[in-house]
Order: sequence, then C-alpha cells, then structure tokens
Amino acid sequence: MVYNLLGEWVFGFVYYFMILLGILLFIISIAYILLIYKHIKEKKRIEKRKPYWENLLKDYEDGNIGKRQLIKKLDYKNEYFRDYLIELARKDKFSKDLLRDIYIECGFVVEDVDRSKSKKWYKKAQTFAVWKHLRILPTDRYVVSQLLSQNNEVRLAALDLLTINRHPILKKKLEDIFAFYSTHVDYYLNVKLMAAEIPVEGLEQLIRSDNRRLKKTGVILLGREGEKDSIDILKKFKDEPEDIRCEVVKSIGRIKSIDGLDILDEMKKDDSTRVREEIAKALGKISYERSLDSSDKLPGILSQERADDIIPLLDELADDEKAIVRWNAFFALSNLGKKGREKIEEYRDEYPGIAKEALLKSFSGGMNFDSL
Amino acid sequence: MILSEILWMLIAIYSIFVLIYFVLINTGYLILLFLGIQEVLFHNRKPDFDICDREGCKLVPGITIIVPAYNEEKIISENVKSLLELDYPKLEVLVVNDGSSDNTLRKLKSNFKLIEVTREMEEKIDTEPLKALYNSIKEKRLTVIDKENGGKADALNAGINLSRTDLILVIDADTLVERNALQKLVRRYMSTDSRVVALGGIVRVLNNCEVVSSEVTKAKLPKKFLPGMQVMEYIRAFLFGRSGWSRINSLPIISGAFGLFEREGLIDIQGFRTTTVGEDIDAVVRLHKDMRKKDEDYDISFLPDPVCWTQVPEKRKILSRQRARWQRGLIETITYNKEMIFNPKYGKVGVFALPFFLFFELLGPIIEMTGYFMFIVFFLLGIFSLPYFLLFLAVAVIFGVLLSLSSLLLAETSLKRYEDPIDRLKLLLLAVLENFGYRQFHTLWRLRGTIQFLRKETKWGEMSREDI
Repeated sequence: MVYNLLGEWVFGFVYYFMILLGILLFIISIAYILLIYKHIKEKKRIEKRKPYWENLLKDYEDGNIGKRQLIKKLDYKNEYFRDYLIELARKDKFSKDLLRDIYIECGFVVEDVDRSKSKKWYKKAQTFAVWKHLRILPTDRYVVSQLLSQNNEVRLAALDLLTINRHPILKKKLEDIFAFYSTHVDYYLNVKLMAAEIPVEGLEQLIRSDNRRLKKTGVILLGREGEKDSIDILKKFKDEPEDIRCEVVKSIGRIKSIDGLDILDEMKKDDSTRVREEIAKALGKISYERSLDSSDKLPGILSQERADDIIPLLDELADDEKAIVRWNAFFALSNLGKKGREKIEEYRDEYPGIAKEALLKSFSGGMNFDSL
Repeated sequence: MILSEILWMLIAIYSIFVLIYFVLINTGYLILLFLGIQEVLFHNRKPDFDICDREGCKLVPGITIIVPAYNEEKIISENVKSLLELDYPKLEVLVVNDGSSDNTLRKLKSNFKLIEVTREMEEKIDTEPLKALYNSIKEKRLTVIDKENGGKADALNAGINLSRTDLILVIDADTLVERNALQKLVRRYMSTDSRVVALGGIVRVLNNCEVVSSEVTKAKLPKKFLPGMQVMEYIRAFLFGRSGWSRINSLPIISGAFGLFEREGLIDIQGFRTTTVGEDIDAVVRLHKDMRKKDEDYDISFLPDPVCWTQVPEKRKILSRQRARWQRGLIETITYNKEMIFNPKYGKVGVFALPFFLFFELLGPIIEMTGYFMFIVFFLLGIFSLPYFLLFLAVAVIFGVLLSLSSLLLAETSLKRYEDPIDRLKLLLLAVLENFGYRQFHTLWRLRGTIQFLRKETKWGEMSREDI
C-alpha cells in the first residue's frame, strides 16, 4: 500500500540515490584509507631523516664541518627538509641565524618569493609566517605593500612579519594600518606594534593625531619597559578623556621607572576609579622586581631605598573609597618588603582581611602585576 | 467515509510527511557538511603564528579560567595544576567549589596552601551566597571560591563576578586543555574585525589516552565500545556541525566544557541562566540575541584546533543520563528563546539555526521513534513493504555513515591526533557500526530527555569521575 502510494518513481529515485550515496561512501572510505597511508609513510620518512639532519646541523654548529660541506651533505631537495627547517625555527632548537643561512643557501627563499606573489591569500600568508619564524625579509617592499592587502589574513601576516623585523617603514604607515581595521582589532595591532619597538619619535604621528583612537595607540606604544624618555611625553596627556588617562597610567607602569612617580602623584586624586585603580597597579609594576639583586631580598621585592618614594603614594590609595583601588594598593605595598609591610600593618584594624592577604603575599615574594 | 479509508489516508499522509522530513533533515546536514568543510579548510590554511612577541606580550588580554567544581576530589588538583601550566602570559584560575559534599575543598587547601581572604566585589550577577574566598600562597594566580550549592550556572556566575579580566574561559573540572589552546583562541579574538563575544574549541575524548603531567602525550582510541562511539560522535558534531554553523556566524552552541567568552558580553546577558541544565547553549543563544538587539557587528565562532580533552561516560546508564540532560537543555533553551525562531530580526540564527535545532534536533528523536513504531504498526496491519523498509533503512544508514566518514576525512586532513593507524581504521569501522544500535539508543535517550522536560524534571543527574 505504502509502496504503491509513494509511487514507483519515488522508489526508483531513492534507489538510484542510494547507489550514488554508496559510490560516494566507497570513494570517501578509500580516500580516508589512502590518506592514512600517506600520512604514515610521510611520518616514517621524516622520522628516518630527522636524526641525520639534526646531527649534520650540530656538526656545523660545533664547527666540525663547513657550510659548503653541510649543504652538500644535506639532501635539501628532499621534500620534507624545508618543513623540517621551519619546524626547528619555530621550536628555537638551533640558532635562527644558522637556520636562516641554510634556508637561504638551499634556495628555498627563491621558491618562497614566487609563492608569496601567488594570487591565493593563504600562500602569501603562510609564506610571510615562515619568514617570520626564520626572521627573514627578502622582499620588504612587497611585504609592505601587503599591509594594505584586501585580504585580512595577508594583512595580519604582513604586519606580523614587519613588526618582528622592526621594519622602519612601520612608523610611516601607522595611520594607514589603523584605517584598514575597526577598533576590534586594536588589541592585535597594539600587541604587534609594541613588538616592533618603534622609537619614541616615530610615534609622534600618532600622539599628535586628532583621531582619539590613534592618540590612544600612541600612548600605549610609548609604554615600553625602560623607555624613560616617554614619561615627559605621557605627562602631556594627563588631562585627556578617561580611556586615554588610563592608558597613560598603564604605560608609565610598563616603563617601570621611578621617574614616573611624579606624574602618578599628580594623577592619584583623579575622579575616575578606573584611573586610580590603574595608578595602584602601575605602582605595583614599578615596585615589582623579578630578579634578586641582594641576598636579603625576596624575588619580587623592591630594594628598600626605592620603597620610600613609592609608599606615600600607595598610602593614600590604600585608604581609597573604592575597594578595587585599595585592593591593588595593598598588593603593590606587598612588593615593598619590610617598609611595605609596616604600612600594611597600619591598616590592619581598618581592613583586616586584605591586610592579612597582602602581608602573606609580601612574605611569599610579592605580586607580579604584569601577569594580571 | 469508511474508517479504513481514513486510516489509509492518515498512513499515507504520515508516510509522505516522514519522507519529506527525511529529505529535509538530510539536505540540512549535507549543507552543514559543505559549510563545515569550507570552514575547516579555511582555518587550516591560516598560518599559525605566535600571538605576541617581546614587549607586546604585556598587552594581550587577560584570561580568567573558571572551573566549577562539585564533588571533584579525584581530579581537581591535577586539573588545576595543568591549567596553571597553560602557555599564556596573562592567566588566572578561579575554582568555584559549588557546595561539594566530598573533599574537593580540602584537597585544594592542602595541595595549594590556600588561605582565606576577603574581597569586596561588585556583584553584577545574583548568585547563591559565598561562604569563603581563598588565595593560594603557593600559586599566586589561583583563587578558590567556596559557595553554597547552586548548580553549574550559578558557580560560573560567581566566578564571573569575581573575575577582572576581559576574557573568561569556561571549562569543566575534568577537562584537560592543550597547552597552546588559549593562544589559538585569543589569536582569533584579537584578529577578528568585529566584536568577538564567544569562541569554542574542539572537545575530544580523554578515555584511554596517555597522560603525563596532566598533558595528553598520546591520543588513543578507548578500548571500550561506548567511549569509542562517543569519539566518533564528537568528531562529527564538532567538525561538521559546529564548523558549519560557525561558517555563517550562526553557531548556537559552544560547549560548557571549553568555551571562551568576553566578560562584558556575559555580564550584559546577566551570566548563565540557572534554571536550565543547558546553560551553555542558552548563554550562546542569548548572546546572539543581545548582540542582534544592539545591532553590533559580532562574532561567535567555533575553531577546529584549540583542543581540550574530556572524560566521557563509560557506562550506559550515565551516558543515557547525560544525553537526556543535553536534550532537556536544548528544549529549555528553545523554549526560553522561542521568540527568536523564524524571526528575521535575529538574522541567520533566528531564521536557520534555531528552526533547524527545533525541527531536527528537538523533534528528531520523536519523529525517528514514531517511524520505528509505525513500521511495527504497518507490519501488524499487513501493509509492511519490505523493499520500502529496506531501502529507507539503507539510505538512512548510508547517509549517516557518509556524514561520519566525511568528518573523519576532515579530521585526518586537519587534526591528526590519533597516531596509531589501527585506531584510525577502527574509527572507520565505528562510523559504520554506530548506525546499528548506538544511534537508536541515542534517540531513545534523547526522547527520555524530552519526557523529562515535559514532566518538569530539573535534576542534573550524577556523573562519575575517574582519576586523570
């Protein structure tokens, strides 16, 4: 009945459809098995050659063989050798200089240049990524032009490559780079441009901009550890809108210099809780030292002579009306050794919980604000 | 009209309905498969690079990993250790002991030297009262909240209240996250030219894998039948299902076992809903809703290679409870967000994803079971057509195998996690076998979940844990 109702044509159609599916299934199964076979074979080949390549590279590194001898012995025409070199570069197993030399010597860069000019976005992006791992930039003009590529991945890879090489063109292209993206990509752009270590004068274009986003980026990029020269420039932005003021304070924190205390002192009465919170954190960063520089000091605890300059600022913030500001101020105090603990003790009756926690932190090496 | 004629007509209508349903569901899956392949290939072609270099690493967004823990004494310490070792520069781990009745808190206290601390915090989301807050002397990035039992969603909300970072990673206490997984997720978060509110990674089966220092060193297929089946299921669900939805930015689910969320987005939707057992899917659907209402350009995606590993149930009873609970969670989510279905205001999620989940994932088990039942009725009425039945069954099975095999092929091209060729061939066998018995049981479990929903059952159901 049902069979009749559906009609023979449905049955016939489904029948042929099933055969088609069956054939497809068979093809996929075979493809799957062949792929497994291919991957196993590849893996075996690579595993077999790896120790040989690695030993040769070690011999070269130790000076037992010369470059010409090395290249001669390396079967660089082996299709997996290029990938192996890239893998080594990513793992930092040998020096980048050595790997780069061999990569260039084997002629892979020439192949790469052709590949990078492919119309396929992924070939360009992948090539740029490889160059980044090996720290090479064979066609910098071309890579620079790709900063404005229509493809997002190519632009990102080009920027990544140029920033790792600290390319001087970047400072001239900053406005163009930002114009290509919405503010959602600012995290990425800032992270990458920070790695480019653009000199302070190179950031002028950004900080003088009327565009708030660019100005903010400029302020962020000024905050590199040890860049004391930036502090005077950052001071000029202390009356900007809240988001920029926050970035000013964060940057001073990242610079980690006592020279930044004056500006933090001026800003510590800021109306914005966020700004005051960032000031406490910045003081926490300035007060935290990663290495032991004297035997009687725990790692993380600032030397006592510098503590005297920081404690008065933190004293005020530790009694702030907002809990989040107090919390950060107490932990910043925990980085200041004995003198910091004495200050914390003074607040023990008023804020017993946080004081106890900060004291314990102080005894266990303070608080690394960089990891927050 | 004679009664028998009415009966024949009803049977005919039912048969045509089933046929149309069958064609539609499989077409839907085919389209998803096609989209999923595109998405995985696109992702595979992207170059893999470090999220930060040099000083830039100080500017990456911070992540708080929230680990809700209820009676997790067997695994909690190992899990926390592994989380603290993840390769990411700005990381905090927040364990929320959700009123455990076992030694979860005691184990944490002794292994991480916890001290009780106070914290004044702004409670942005209402939760059950907190009992105490602990910080670790041994590990500065670890905080433990001890609170009254309020369920997983409530525990997550307590964690959201206490966290201070831009991003929140939600995981299960039995989840092992691969070392570089956070970097992969954050890379996507930072480089997407729209607001990323949620990202999901792939969840894989941990049972029988070799684990050293809380890290999977060798992926092996489980020896037992049920976990083995689940390996196949997870590969299929994640690789073509979620990748497919992700391709058109309509992903309605990110697993609660491994999902990265923007904290602000979660606060805007008042965190995870505590009145559903499907808090993960519900949160993602509400995030879509919220972003659509705000008319913001946003992204909720699945990435096929940040991997986490989780223990799956080995016993049928526990698996059936889990699947019934997932089904209940799905129905609750669809019920809570019913105004989005077929509503163009909510874009592709409202027009495609939710109706798909309603008709094929929610009603699927009911229709499939009635199908099996009707064959019995046809048989009893003497109108059973063996050729039709066999043909129908063959197409259904072949189609199911085709989808599973395509996912396997995708997995083999992108995520070659199982090293042993025998395991990879076994998967091929499982892709076929799961259509005979396991699939039918699965349908039955989901039907049970539907019945539980109709009976307004709210309990979570017990899960057992093995040592990692």
